[in-house]
Amino acid sequence: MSALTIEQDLVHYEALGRGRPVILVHGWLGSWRYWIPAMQQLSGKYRSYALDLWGFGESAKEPLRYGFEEQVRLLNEFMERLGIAKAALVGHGLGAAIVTRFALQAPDRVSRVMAVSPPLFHMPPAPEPVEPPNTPRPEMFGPIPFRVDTEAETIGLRTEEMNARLRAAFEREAQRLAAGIPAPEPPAETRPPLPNPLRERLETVDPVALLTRHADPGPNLDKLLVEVRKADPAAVAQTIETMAGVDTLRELQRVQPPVLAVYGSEDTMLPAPDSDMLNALRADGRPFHAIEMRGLRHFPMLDDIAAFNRLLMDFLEAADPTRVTIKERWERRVR
Amino acid sequence: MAKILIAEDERDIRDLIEFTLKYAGHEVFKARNGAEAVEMAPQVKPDLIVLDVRMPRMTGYEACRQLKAHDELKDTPIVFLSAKGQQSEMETGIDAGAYDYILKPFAPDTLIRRVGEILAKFGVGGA
Repeated sequence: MSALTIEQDLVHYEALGRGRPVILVHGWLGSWRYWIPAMQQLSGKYRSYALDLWGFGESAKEPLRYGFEEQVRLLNEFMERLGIAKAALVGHGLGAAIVTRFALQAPDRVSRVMAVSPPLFHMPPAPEPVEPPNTPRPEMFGPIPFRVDTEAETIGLRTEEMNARLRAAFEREAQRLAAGIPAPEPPAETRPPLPNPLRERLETVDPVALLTRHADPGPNLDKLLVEVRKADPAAVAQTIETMAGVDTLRELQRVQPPVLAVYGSEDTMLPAPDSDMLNALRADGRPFHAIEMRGLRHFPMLDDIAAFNRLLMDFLEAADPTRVTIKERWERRVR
Repeated sequence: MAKILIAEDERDIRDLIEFTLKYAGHEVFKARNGAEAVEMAPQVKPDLIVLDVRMPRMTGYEACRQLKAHDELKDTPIVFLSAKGQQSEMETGIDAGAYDYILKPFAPDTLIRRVGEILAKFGVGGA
């Protein structure tokens, strides 16, 4: 077992092979383990890494780390700590959203992206950020020249000045409490709640229930159930909740490295992208390609190991990843 | 779960075999050549030994003969990894005391299945 610690919390991962790095990121239902067949396939030409996200598999169960942004930061920290300057990223479900966000934030560190069963929804454009109104404060202790409840106000300040402002604010608060003065009302909520179509679509956030609904019975399901039961249910729930406002479809449109989206035609957990989505993703000659794996459900990497692994290898090796196609076994024999 | 000792001089193949067998639930010990395998086996007391044929310092054949001559290991099944098409290698391996062989290159699933079959045949639990 391989692991590293981030601020004393353990991150479990496995690595195999030698060559250019490929990082595999699992989704809501499972752990690094369902990448084992892919890692075996890649080992001859690539060094693949598969990690357990916070709250999943053997990684630390720390609820403060379960949010979507935290999981993206984990990927960043993981690459930094292992000295991986640039890698191909392969993500499934939640993992697809994570690698997409990372590729958007750090395009120079990503050579290409395979998004497997990505969570794509038609979402309204994100609203413009609204400045909270200047809440009037009691003048009991004289005029307050600043507020310390906005990060923007402290950016650019030197540490000493920022600390001095914070101390002054704390002292005023202590005086208010001592004098029994009620706290001012917090500013009214100025933003509408962020849309979360994923949460609306899923009937439950219970990982075992989700898995039994969206994977066929058989040895794959049995193995996945073992892994799903290792996850903290709060990690699954919170990563779903914190997908509010995460628009992976729009983010994929802005990602610079080449992207291949792969999805099962019979995936009942996350809908296959419709033609409008695909057109938007391909617009303006973007290096985007999508492949539907017919008859497969939410885990194409397990439902048809051979076909998925061939596709993965082709995608990683292709000079132009947008021209990758599914190869059926019989094609080789016909030649 | 079984204890398996593997001897393979090529690191990539050694790592892949270890990875595959470990995540099939076995405890895996690695040797880089025949001599290391002969040295490790009495301490590890494996349920199965997997030997490559062509290795530096000591070939798989010689390692097999020495392991079979060891009182505590004479009943431990030994399997050779043999290159496809090398019929003579397979015969030599069997003559040296190997129980069976697996042809390279092999798919990970094939390795797991064959190892499982051999362990079951020798009554090793968890195969």
